[in-house]
Amino acid sequence: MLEESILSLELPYRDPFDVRAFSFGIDTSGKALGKGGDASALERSLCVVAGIRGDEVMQTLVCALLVERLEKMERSKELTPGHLVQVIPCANPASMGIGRRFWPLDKTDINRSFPGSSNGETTQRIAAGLFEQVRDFTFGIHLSSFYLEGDFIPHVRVMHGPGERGNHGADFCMPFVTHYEPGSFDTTTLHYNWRLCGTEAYSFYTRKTTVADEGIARDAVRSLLRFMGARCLTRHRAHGGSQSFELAERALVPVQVPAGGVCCSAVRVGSVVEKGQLLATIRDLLCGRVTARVVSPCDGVIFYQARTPLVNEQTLVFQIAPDNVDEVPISLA
Amino acid sequence: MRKDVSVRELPTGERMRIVKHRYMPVGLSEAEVSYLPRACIVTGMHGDELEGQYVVYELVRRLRSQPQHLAGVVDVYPAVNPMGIGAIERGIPKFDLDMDRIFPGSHDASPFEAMAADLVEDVRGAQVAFDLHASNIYLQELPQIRVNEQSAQRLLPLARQANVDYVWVHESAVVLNGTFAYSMNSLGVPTLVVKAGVGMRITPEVGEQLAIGILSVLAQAGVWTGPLPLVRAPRVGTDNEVSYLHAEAAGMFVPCVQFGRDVAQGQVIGHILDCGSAEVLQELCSPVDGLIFTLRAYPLVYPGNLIARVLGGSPC
Repeated sequence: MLEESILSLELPYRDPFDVRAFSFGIDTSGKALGKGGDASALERSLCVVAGIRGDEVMQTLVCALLVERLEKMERSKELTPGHLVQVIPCANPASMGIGRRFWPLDKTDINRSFPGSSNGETTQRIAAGLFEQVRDFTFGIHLSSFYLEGDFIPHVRVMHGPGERGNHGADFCMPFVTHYEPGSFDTTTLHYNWRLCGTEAYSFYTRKTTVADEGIARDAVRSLLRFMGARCLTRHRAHGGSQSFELAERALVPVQVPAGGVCCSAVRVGSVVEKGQLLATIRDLLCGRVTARVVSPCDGVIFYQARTPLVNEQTLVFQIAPDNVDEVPISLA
Repeated sequence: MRKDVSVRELPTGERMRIVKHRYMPVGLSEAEVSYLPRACIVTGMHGDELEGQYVVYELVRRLRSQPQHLAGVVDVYPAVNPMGIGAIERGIPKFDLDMDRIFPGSHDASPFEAMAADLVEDVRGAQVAFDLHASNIYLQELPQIRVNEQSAQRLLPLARQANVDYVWVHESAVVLNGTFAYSMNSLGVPTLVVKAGVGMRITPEVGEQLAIGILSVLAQAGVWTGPLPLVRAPRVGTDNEVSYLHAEAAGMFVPCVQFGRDVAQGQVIGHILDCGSAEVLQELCSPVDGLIFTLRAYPLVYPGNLIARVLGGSPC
């Protein structure tokens, strides 16, 4: 394993911003990186990035446990020789260190700053410096979080549109692979720019974001190892997992609440629901009266659930992966 | 006349509203004015940008003092992100996306995207629209209009009438497709984006300057027939004519030039200081002869932070 600083920046009245990367690989002479192995002789095969936003604690924990695991696999020669695997557990330590989701000074989102600019604003420079380090990999996995607060069924997202290439999302063996067309605000994400530059990219969503749950994190690590195994980057076999359902995100059924108040949910992420089943009740915050009942519009599985207990009128509280929906053809594979 | 354009209930029972104030010719009914030209003035998209509040005040004060000169309808939306204004936040509280990146909105996602869709629907059909922004709290900006090059041919004649100091014709960026102005221009409503002043502050002279500019554009659109002072002729420039000056050190920026004035190439604009050691970490000089139309207002800087924009073409 080779641990190195890939990006640093002076901060006023704080220690410098310092992004650490962990690289793994065994060269053809059998030497590991950091133990005399030659990094330049390795194919840049996989890059895993997390913690671009400072509250993505679970994503960073997943990467940390992946680093721990890959170090053992490198020692036991379970990594396929000739491949470089790089893990960046926390790309934004300046925000994570003080519990902020976005950049501390101007609240900008680094994941809306790619590909960045080396002559631009601070977050554009960070994005540019990071992108320079993570580009030109065959596969790129970004452990990301959604713009709405909530929990998900673990899944990977595959972006269509510019730079579209092969889809091996099912190799993670997660319950769902979702497919989406990028909107204008997606064009400055790491995922989009990876694709533009020839990397087969995936956004990887764990069940939760702002908490550290080692059980959830270890499940996520196994998904990442399954992908690595299927792509011949390791001979380690992480058994288990699911047969993924390939779902177009536009097929997810949104469930919004008709009134503001306290949302008391009757189901959880992953619950199987039937049409007409009670999903949640909305109560008046002050007198407790039930002001609305939210029922399922279809048969299916709860795919997304908002985390906030207080909801505004029309808040998206659930997305349901409906039964009886066609699977996205794996024509990209 | 005041009307709710979009309303969503909050968990506490409070209602989040986008409110519209309508001004129309005296003695006419809603039905009668539906055939008249209409102008829409939108502001408060970013909750920490307050310069638009005083622009709207100065505009409405003039409309109300001379109602006989109204020949069409003026719809004023003073706070389209009311919760952000209340919380002194650029964005919408509890929502990650910039409001000015979610247009034309959607009724299937969040209440905020639905409110954006309601706003678009309400403004649709107007003869002209303004989206008034201040700068953020970090930068001070001369009153300017930013025009996407795709819309430049249609918008420049209006922008020249708007009494701003500068019209910036910028290259189109895909990410800007989510802005209110892009959506409205796509729907056939000529929409001008104005940026002026500094965040979290009101600069009265900016408000007066822009109120006159909006009246001038309303006159061109046939909405206003009242007397107008002469408007200033703006400089018009493209991206190539703007030079940027960034911080390369972390510390406190202290300017030594006056904002909005011309500077010479090499002239010192300011310094970045390490105050504890009384050291000058960086001396910042203008890269070109030109007009400082953007200047750092917030002293704390990180490497990369924008210090100034100078309108003056390529470095000599």
